[in-house]
Amino acid sequence: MTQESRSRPEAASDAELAQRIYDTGGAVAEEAELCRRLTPRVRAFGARHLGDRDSAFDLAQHVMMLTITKLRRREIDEPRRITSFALGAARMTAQNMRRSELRWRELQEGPSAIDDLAIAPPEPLDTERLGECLAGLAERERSVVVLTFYDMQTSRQVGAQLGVSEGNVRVIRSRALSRLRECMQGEEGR
Amino acid sequence: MSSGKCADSIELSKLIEYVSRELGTDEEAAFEEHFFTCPDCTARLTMLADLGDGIAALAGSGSLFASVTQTVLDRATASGLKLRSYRLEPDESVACTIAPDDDANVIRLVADFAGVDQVDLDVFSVEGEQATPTEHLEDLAVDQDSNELVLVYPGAAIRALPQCTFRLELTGRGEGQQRRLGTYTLNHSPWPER
Repeated sequence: MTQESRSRPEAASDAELAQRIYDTGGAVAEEAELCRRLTPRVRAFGARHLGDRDSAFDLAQHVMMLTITKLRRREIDEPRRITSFALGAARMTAQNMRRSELRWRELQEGPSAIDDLAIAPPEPLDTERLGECLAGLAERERSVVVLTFYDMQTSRQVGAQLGVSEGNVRVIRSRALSRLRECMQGEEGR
Repeated sequence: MSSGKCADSIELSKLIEYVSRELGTDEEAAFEEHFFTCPDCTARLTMLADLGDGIAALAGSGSLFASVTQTVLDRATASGLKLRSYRLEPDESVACTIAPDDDANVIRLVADFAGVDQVDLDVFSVEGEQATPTEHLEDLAVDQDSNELVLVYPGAAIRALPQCTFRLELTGRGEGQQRRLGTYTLNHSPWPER
């Protein structure tokens, strides 16, 4: 660890941040930085496994509360492997949430709840702009992304429904998402 | 460290397969191990997941024009969306409207799509003998199960229309040929005020 990274949390690795929280029993700046980094990763995992932004955020809050609590209490065997711990916690919690439709309201009542940890909610999506971007897609591209993300169909299922090959659906879907991403990022750059 | 490009150069197609739930169990687990240590992949994944969520939200509110399939309509109806549906055979006309609490209109166009690779739609606004082209849509997706072109029109857009007539002309391309699949007429009236 360099002298600079020891003094600046944002320059430290995930493992270094976790080790400092573990060693000190709680370090505000390091905890905030670790949350800033890990929350999006847990959210991305949650979006895939739980299917919506709200549940993904609930999951991220719970996992971060648990992670920081365990570090402060030195209940993690290998603090430097903190990303593995967070992924394991995300997997287990997501499984429980799917099984019992457990939500943040219930999770908050658990032993991991701590008051001084701020988890930033995700930025609201500009749906008006997204609607404009979707309108700019080719007709078939729009159909494919609607079947994929609204009707939760795989490329094989979409292909069967629309009479095109699975490979072709993947190409269309990839092109559509690239165009949407560029369109939305163009909006950010305005 | 906290930032930087992905050292493993994960392709966009792989990220899309993850978001679309198409990776095998082992591959998915390995990918998750990776992106939990990779801010670059996380940022790209988050963007894709947010797009997917937004698409689902727009489609689920009936505010997105698209050619869809029966399964999409079933999901929309099951989630409480109110759809007013019209099904037209070739050369058929229909009187149509939209109620204040309808979320979307569904126009189902029946045709013989056999041998057709691409379906195009031309929309004309008709006043008396005059037909003015208003829209040309190319390569629309046909629902193979119902063998219909299923179009969802957002309720707000239809509600803004005065009394009017639209002619829809479907053209199919395939096997080096182009042929007219059908002409359909929509006579729209606003929902009567009480």
